[in-house]
Amino acid sequence: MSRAETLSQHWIMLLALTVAAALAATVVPAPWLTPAVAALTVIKGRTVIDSFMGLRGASPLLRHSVSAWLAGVVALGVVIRLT
Amino acid sequence: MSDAAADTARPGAYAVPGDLAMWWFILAELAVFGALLASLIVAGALAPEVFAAGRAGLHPVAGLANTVMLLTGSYLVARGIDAAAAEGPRRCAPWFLAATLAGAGYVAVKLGEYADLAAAGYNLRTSTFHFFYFFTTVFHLMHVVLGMIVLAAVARRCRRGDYDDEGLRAPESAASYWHMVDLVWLALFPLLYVLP
Repeated sequence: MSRAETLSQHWIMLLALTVAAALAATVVPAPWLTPAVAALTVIKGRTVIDSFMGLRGASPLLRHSVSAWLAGVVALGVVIRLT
Repeated sequence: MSDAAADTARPGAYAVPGDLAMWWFILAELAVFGALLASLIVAGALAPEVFAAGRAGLHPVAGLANTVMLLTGSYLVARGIDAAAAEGPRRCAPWFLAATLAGAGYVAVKLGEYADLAAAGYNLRTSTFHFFYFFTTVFHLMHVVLGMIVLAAVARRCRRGDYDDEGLRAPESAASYWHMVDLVWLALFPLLYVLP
């Protein structure tokens, strides 16, 4: 598969996950909504970081720094909402 | 990574898309947005009723449309870098201009949201939620506009052939900045529009 095809697949997946996150509030039971939306956000963010930003093969320090930012924001949201 | 960057990289060193200086800037921007998002999360936990009432006045479809436009812009930018890597920097120009249009769509939807909220009497002082909503989204919007200006400028220079001898360092730097703006919105979208 070419890189262009991979990017197109990731784009379609990201759009589908965005719609899923938007619909989650009406479908997912309240206790599971925050973890479900958090998981979708992490998947979307990691796809942007690895595929679109092209950090999959980049410096691990750089890749982990950006990934840690995403994980930190999402984790803070989950922990504060569930405690 | 661009050819120019590869030429100057130490043997065994990892690639960095674009300029390292741009990545310092991006990490600094992420730190600022991280503090802002953390403040938003904590404020929401301290006043859940105020935030729930504030969210009820937003248009979820507008938030969804904004996300779709930024993701599409990021996709177009990534395709531009892919095309430029295969056929030279000039090839990224149409993709970057298309991404700029996606960014313009985002700006139009956001301004429409602001106009609707202002017409309904909402402003920065209405509630804690509205303070955070306007402050974070306007701050983010400024970054979207800056990203559009950078993409359009780089596309123009790519089309003129200014980067033909320089590899992809400048286009990759512009692309990385745009993806950062997209990444921040992915974290902001559920906090403002989705979670109760």
